[in-house]
Amino acid sequence: MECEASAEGVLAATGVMYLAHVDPAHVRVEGMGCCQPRLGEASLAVETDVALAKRVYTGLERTVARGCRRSNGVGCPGGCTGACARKVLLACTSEDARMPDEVMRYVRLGFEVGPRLSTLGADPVVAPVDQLAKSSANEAERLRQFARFSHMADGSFLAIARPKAAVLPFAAGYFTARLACERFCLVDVRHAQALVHEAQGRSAIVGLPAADVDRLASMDLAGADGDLAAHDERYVRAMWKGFYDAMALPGRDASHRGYDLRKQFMPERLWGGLPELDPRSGETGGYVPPAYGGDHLAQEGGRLRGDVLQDMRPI
Amino acid sequence: MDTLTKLGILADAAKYDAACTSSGVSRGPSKGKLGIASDAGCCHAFTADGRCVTLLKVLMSNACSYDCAYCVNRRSNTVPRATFTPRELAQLTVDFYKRNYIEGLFLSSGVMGTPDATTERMISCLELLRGEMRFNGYVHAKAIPGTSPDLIDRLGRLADRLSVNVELPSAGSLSALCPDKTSSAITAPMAQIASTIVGERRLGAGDGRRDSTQADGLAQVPRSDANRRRAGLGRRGARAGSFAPAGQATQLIIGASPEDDNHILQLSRSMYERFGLKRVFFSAYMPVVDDPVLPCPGTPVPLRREHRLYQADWLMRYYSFSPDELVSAEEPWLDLDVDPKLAWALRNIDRFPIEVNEAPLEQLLRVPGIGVTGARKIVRARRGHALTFDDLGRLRIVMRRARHFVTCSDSIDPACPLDAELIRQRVVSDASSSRYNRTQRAADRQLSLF
Repeated sequence: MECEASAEGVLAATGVMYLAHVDPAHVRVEGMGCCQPRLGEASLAVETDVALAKRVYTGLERTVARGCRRSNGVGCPGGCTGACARKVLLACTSEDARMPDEVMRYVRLGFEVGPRLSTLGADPVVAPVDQLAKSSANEAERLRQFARFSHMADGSFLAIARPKAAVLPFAAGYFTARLACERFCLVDVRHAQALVHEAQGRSAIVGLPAADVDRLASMDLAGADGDLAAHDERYVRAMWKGFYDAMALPGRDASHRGYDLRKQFMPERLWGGLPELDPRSGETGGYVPPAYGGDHLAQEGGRLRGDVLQDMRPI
Repeated sequence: MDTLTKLGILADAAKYDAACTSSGVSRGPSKGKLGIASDAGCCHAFTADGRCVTLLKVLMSNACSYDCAYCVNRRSNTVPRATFTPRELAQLTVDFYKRNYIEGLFLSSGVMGTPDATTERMISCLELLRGEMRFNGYVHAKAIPGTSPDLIDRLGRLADRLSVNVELPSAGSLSALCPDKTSSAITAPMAQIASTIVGERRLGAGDGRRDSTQADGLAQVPRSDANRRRAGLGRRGARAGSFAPAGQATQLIIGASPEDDNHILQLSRSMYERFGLKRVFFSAYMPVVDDPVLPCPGTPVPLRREHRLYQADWLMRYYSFSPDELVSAEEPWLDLDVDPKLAWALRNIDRFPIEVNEAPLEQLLRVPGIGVTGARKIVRARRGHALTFDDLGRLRIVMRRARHFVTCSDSIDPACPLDAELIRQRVVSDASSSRYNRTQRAADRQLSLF
């Protein structure tokens, strides 16, 4: 069975299997375009039916929360240590090719055993989904940690990220709370979606057309596209890089430890998006924002440093 | 001097202070304000040596009047000096915060003339940050020993966490290395901070989070909001006016003075109990200053010792270990090759193996390789069925260490030796051959050649 490799797609496929009375032992669920039927197997593509997916998810919440002390009879609170239903949504953000099948079996098991699901952490059906959910939760945390915003010329903030799971919805709350009064956009170019937030507090996650994704993926605010950034951006980046470099302590690096702790916590695949590790960030371009011009410059209006800045626009 | 240059000097001057966490307080968004604080904290970068950068950790100034022997900023040392204006530091914090570089500000300072003058400048910066710039993120401020109580109080109402550095583990070392500081000048603000935090929580003006300091105090004050109003007290759980809601912490320098691990862990325990500290940070001494009373420059940084002390501290805070179980007057040093929990288990091997399917949580927590999360997973999973070694592997328990100390349904792991001495040899050999231990031993050997 082929379905879209998303929460809606996999839950809808699970619902279709249930409605069609198909024995899960005789079915494999694969992501769309990933299915290679074996001898004697037939392939069936299932359309994503959001209403059916919602029905399956609500049913699962209700079933696993039955008897749960924290549910108050209104469904899985999602905040308990088991978080049995919510972990399905996290696991579904994974790009692992085995995800659709493992999630389908987990959901079926949930309907079968109900609240006992939370005690089956060592079960061969539950453990892989736990791992997928954990991996996605880690990726959401990395997005919260390492998304880097740039101040744009129009006053808004823009960050471009490439998480290896579609976890933007799980990190969105953090950014909208943190930057509640700012206008910002956090783009996941890998999954073609963006979190857009207005300063008044309205926000939404929207899909992006391929052309926009390409343009954003190739945007280089530290280089060719520097004009799109606000005037203070290069200087603030330079300060951040200077701060980051100054924080390193000698005598404690990888050669002294025997392993690289930085790579362990901050995977190398993310380094390209971090201004502190971009050698170009050290260049201020000669412009010093008024707030950072030093005391004597502040008294003079704080605009200029050197003769290359005569034509700079005020912030 | 522009801010970029100042920041280079003042961040470099602040980096020797190991503490850099933004945890301990949870605060949601507030209308018109910038930022939040999250209980678990968030690390936004990791330095080349692997330390987490979560806060903008800088000094207000490194123009210090004191002459502490180990400190790079001491007045007799020749280094570039700089001082932030309160406004530029507040602006810098906001600019970094909006770009998701940091969770907030960690503000410390060299002593600019007097502790009071320095603290007043720090307060000016935080007032700008919290007031004019409406910053709602995390702030950790250092209280400078010798600061007057009213200024400490003002500082604590602007910061989420306060800390006073103990610096050295004994009064003798302190007087030898820090001629301008006394132990009473350090403990006085710690005691003031502790008593103010407890007092505020008794009045319900804290952050509403329950902790051990609340338990006895709440019994003596009205519990309902109406009764509290009649008694002139604040609403329970109200946040307004909270003083250092993330508590206080301190830092100790390891390796600059001769005190052993037993002394340091006993001191940590007494500070946790006496001042209600949230954390004691250990900072391995890095020889940056040539002074006859200090280890000479070139001495390796005692990284392994720092690491083992953090592990021991963790065991004390989350695993109910006491310092006496980890070190003693007879064996005052932690084993550098083996982590403290494993060392304890080997000393008490007669208490093992324990049965995974029956042992209470607190006993599971004492098994090497089983952490808090793992122990909870086991307790939850064994409600469903009796666990096997394969099940433990699926629960992601570190079986390499744990397998020697547990049984599953009364059977031991077939790959495990039965003899206690063989177990000891195997686990010690596993631990000693780790890349970390090998590299550290090589560094120690290299030094001994000279």
